[in-house]
Amino acid sequence: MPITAPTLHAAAEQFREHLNRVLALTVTRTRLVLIPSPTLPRVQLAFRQGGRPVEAKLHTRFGVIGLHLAQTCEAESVHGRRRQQQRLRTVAYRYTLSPDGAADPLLRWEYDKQLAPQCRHHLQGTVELTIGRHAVRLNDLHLPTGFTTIEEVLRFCIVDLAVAPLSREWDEVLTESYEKFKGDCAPRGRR
Amino acid sequence: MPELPTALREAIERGELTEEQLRQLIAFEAQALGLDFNEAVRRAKARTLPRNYIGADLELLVDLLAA
Repeated sequence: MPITAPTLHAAAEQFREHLNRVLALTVTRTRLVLIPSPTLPRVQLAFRQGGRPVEAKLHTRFGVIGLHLAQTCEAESVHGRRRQQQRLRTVAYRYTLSPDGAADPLLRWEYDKQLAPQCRHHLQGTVELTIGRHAVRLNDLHLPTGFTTIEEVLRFCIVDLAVAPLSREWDEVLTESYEKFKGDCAPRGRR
Repeated sequence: MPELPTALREAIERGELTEEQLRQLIAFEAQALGLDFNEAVRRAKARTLPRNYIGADLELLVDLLAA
């Protein structure tokens, strides 16, 4: 089911409410807040409290790790049954995981529709790598990932980082949300 | 990062920011990174902001400004 509504703001609000429900049933009650552009058909969704960007503090098997989620969405006009509708599309995202006290995130999943010539969907971070006799950091590369969904990042937090899920239904909630929205926000082959 | 002024906080909660308020929010986040508004916008466009979550958020906020 595509995320469509008569206006971009209404479609983004639907998306925000859905994601906040998913977050509250999986890893955090920190909420995504909507910031619409005053002049462009574009909105930003990010973790905020009191208007300021915040990290959700997750208790993992490696200690406390801060999670920050932010997305920029635009709308494309589609013909509805009775009138024109706006379908939401993600055009940029930033997901970061930062161990408590770290200056830079350990992992950053990023996407920019306009980014070139690097891979638009990529993973970076402070992780050290050895390539032949060269020591490099993941921050020096744009490791391709494909479209990374918020649901996949939350799943990583629960399964690999051992964050205690906030409900027994976390697996179904993530699977259902992934199936429902992945094809809508980032259809394969669409730029 | 300092507390935001009440009017700006309320505008964010309502999801209705003016261009001036968006610029004010960008300036607050820039200040938290030790930058002024113009430098933050320049570095956001060059993708050279600090890599922490405030820099990530700021980069996407700058994309909301009129070109």
